Amino acid sequence: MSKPSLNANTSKPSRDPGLQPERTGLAWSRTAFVVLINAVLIARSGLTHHELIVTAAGFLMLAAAAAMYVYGSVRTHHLARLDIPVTPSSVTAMRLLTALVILGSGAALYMAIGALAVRFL
Amino acid sequence: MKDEKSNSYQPYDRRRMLRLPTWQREGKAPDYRFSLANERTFLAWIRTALAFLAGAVGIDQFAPDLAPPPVRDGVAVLLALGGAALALAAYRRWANNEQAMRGERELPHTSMLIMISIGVALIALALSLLVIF
Repeated sequence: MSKPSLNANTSKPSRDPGLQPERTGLAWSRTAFVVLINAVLIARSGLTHHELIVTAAGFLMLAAAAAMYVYGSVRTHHLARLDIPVTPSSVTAMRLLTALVILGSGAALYMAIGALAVRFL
Repeated sequence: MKDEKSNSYQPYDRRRMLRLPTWQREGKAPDYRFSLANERTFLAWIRTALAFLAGAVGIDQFAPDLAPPPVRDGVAVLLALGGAALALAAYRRWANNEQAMRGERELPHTSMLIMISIGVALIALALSLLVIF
């Protein structure tokens, strides 16, 4: 089944009774908040330990959190019009998000392994 | 392309980054609600990965009295690796689900749930032992 088509009388998109576009856009927005928490934690731990790379990763995640929050509402609006939800830009957004989480993990590993190395080497 | 059955999205942007994965042109587009549910499931797994990451940074940096430093660092390494693995698994699972739906096959089985249940239980047990003793 594809998306319900345009309403003939009003030419406005018919409202999905399952509110799929809203739920998906909101899922992006609340994920942005979790990215924000991690960005603050990583930026702060980079700043306190004067680790430039970790601080930069934290601020990059901060910017990404803001972008994701905006993307959430953009996605909602697109989905209200598009028939096919998986688009080149939506796949790119998911790949970028995956890469961002791996970047954050890299920053955390860098701090933890660095601390272990100082102690044992 | 003129396979009218596949109903696939016509890539308007030829740049490499913005091209659809090749499997996205195979099979039949699933019910759009299923695709969106799949996308939200991906995001839920990403939030789980981010929770692991927050645990890693939090234990390592902001809980100095929790355990001897090497133990804290070790737990942080495990949690950070778990977060990265979960993020990758989230994307792979989304892609596999999408492919299965396009091919009208059953969704692939995942052992991720049992694995993170056991992993989180072990870490929680270890940390509570450290708090008690």
